[in-house]
Amino acid sequence: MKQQKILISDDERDLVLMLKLRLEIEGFKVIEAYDGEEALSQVHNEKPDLILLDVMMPKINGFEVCRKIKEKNKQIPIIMFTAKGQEKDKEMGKRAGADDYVIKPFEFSDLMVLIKKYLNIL
Amino acid sequence: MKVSLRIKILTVLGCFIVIIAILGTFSWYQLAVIRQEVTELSDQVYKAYQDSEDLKQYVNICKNWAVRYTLETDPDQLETWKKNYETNMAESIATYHKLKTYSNERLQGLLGEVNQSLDAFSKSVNQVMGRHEDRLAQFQFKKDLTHEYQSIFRQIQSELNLLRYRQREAGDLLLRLLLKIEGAFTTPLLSSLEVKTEDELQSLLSQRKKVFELTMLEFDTVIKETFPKLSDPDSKKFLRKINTLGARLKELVLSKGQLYDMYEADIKNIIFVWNSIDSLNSSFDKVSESAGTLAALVQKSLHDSISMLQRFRKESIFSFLMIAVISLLFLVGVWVFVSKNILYPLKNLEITARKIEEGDFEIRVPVPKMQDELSSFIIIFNTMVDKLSRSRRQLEIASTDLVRAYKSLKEEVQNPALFTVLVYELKSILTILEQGIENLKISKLSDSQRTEIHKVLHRTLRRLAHQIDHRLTLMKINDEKEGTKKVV
Repeated sequence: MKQQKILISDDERDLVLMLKLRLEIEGFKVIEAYDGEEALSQVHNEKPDLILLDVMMPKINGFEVCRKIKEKNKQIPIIMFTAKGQEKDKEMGKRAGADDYVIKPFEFSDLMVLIKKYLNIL
Repeated sequence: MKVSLRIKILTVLGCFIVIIAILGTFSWYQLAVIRQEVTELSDQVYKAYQDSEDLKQYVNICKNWAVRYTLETDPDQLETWKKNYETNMAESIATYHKLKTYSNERLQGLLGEVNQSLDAFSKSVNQVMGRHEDRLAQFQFKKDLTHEYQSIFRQIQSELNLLRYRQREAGDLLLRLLLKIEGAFTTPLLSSLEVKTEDELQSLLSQRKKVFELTMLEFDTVIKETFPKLSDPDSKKFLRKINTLGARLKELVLSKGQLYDMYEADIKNIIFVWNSIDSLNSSFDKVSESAGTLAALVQKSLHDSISMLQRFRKESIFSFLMIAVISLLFLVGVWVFVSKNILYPLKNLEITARKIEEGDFEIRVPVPKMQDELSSFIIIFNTMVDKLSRSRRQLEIASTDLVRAYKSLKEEVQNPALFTVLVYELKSILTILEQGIENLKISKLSDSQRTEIHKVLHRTLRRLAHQIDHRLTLMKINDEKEGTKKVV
């Protein structure tokens, strides 16, 4: 079975490091991005199967990045996570084209459920 | 080079220039004095030369008057010539005495010779002129004699004219002889100055004497041979008369002889004067030649001296100009040197110090290329300003940071949005901590992965502690603010 590729885009380097470690143990190939521009570039170069996208990032914010990715690669599922847990944020994420939303702090098992859901892993 | 050493060198050079200037002025003065002396000497020599020429002229004129006096046949002119001679001789002696006053040795030697010749000439002329009364008497005697002779001559002539119709040839012959006798007697012995030697004069005189004597003899013979043949009473009467006249004529001949003796004495005088004139001429020629040579020599050396002085003057003017120009250039150089190396850096130091005083800590004093006390001082000054500037900048930064921190805290306290950001931050921290702790639970982790997770956890915990401190500070500021409000 082909190893699936997940892009983690967050300016919190330590969080990216922790998630990458765990996802790699889970059998995924992980690529990283630490701001909006880098995320767009990695999507273009690596063609990930799924994107974990933080909302508050330098240069271009998560909503804008999400919108731009969805314009060209509508099929790539995007799960956004943020510290903001308000409804209007969720609404903004949906409008930008995000497939799902995880509120910080979250448990890895919850995230894993969503990843598996969008990658159709049973 | 040290500033003190430079000042010493400048002082020495300054003294050198002053010494050159003093020496130059002194040489200039000396030159002027020498020039004055040479000019005076030149004037003196020229005057001496002129005086010697004057003396020569006067003596020549004296010579002419003496000769004229000696040869004069007209007694009325004698006195005039004598007076002229005496006047010019007085002038000559005065000029000679004037020449004696000049101090040149060679000239004095020559003047000694001139004096001797002049003395000899003067003595001989005086000897001739001393016989002035005798000469006048001689002229009177000659005049009387001529007068008597002419009277006898006229009587004989008239007697002869009476006889001519009878003894025509003899009468004519006698008349011719009488004319010849008169000629030998009355014609002046010297008509010009052409005859110069004593021998020539003597031969001329004896020739005249001989002509006179022969003619007289012939006259006697004619009378004796022709007239005794005549027997008529008239002829006898004529013969008696003519014999008487003849006797008188012979007496006159005798007198003529006396006259010739006088002539002879005159000739001796003339020759004497003449010889002294010759010696005078020769000594004058010498004087003239020597004076001319001397004058030429003096003129030449004078000319040389003057041209040397002029050359020296030109050269000295050139040298002084050169020294002046070099000194000027040197002074300009010194001024530039002092300005560039001492005054300009000092001025810069002053300006910079003022600007620093006004608060400009970025400015620095340019360090002179030459390494000396001044450049060391400027380097130390610049370093001092550097340190001062750095301290000031650090103080400013610290002050700005403090103000900014205070403002930020103040804003945070007052702004609820910033509080929200803090909450988000805490949430992010919690997420990392949660993921890290969960990861540590995984049994498959390698040692390095485990170490990495530990590091992340430590970092995140420090971040959390910092956020808590920050929060406490905010609360403190807020409390102070609330306290202030309550007090107010």
